[in-house]
Amino acid sequence: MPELVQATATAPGRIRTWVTNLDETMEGGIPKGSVVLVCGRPGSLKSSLTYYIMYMQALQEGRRSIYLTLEQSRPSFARHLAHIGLNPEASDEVAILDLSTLRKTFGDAGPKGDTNWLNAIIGQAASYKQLFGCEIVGIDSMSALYSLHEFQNPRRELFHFFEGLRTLGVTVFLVSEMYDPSKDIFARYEVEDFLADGVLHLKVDRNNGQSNLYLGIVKMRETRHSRDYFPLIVDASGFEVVPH
Amino acid sequence: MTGEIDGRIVEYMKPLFGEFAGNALQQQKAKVGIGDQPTRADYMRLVESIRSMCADVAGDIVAAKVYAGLVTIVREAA
Repeated sequence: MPELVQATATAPGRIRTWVTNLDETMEGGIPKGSVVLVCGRPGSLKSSLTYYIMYMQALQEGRRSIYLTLEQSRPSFARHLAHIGLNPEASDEVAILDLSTLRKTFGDAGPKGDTNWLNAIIGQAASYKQLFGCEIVGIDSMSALYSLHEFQNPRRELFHFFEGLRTLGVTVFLVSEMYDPSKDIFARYEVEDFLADGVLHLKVDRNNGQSNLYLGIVKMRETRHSRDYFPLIVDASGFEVVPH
Repeated sequence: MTGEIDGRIVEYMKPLFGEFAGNALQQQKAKVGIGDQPTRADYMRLVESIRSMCADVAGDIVAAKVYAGLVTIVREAA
């Protein structure tokens, strides 16, 4: 498990990722209040990276978060996190809310049979912030959310969804699955990366039977950042990118 | 009175249950066997049951926090 380390000066107004060597490539971190897509193909550690940032923010800087999981159950996600040395049961600083259990218990249609899941997610995060306080929200995943919401006009509805997330006054991470390995399409409707303030891309490079993981900052508003893809190492000491 | 307590309980459950908070309360009331004129003891049994449900959704630590809030609501209403 990552240990409490001596924090280097945290840039004001920034949320550090605590991925070793990454924050230095983007003025010290992600601007507070940003809505950030964490994108990648299946198995690229999107959920793990998102949770890791929230976990380290709690551990190192005392920030409270909620992580909303729409498909993977809480016990399953906790077991996965334990494999990378993170213990979600240790505190409530990063609360994992298992919406998949609610879906199984009450059905996807919601109490009135026509739940607008985009608004419901924003409402729930707002309730949590108001009652228990939180500065970071993770939503896993956009694909699961899309499976629940019937879009009439995706571009318009997603615009209002992103704006709604911004009104929460927290930093938001949206886990987004990429489907086409040959194209850099960061989310299903191809507008999410325009609407988001930031895009973190986890890329898996498979060559000669080997898989290597890379992390790139595709976009980060209000930030001068590297556009390189850095090799990503995940081990017992945490996440680390290898600078060129 | 019952409606007022229920409303406060639902509001307190919303961070974990979102739009399902009302349904979750009714489900737990049925499970515990709460009638039309619940006593304080009935409500205490109800919040115990809700605590268990909260633990499934958000883990024991968050559930304990919600439970404490719900107990306060019931005590204040008594």
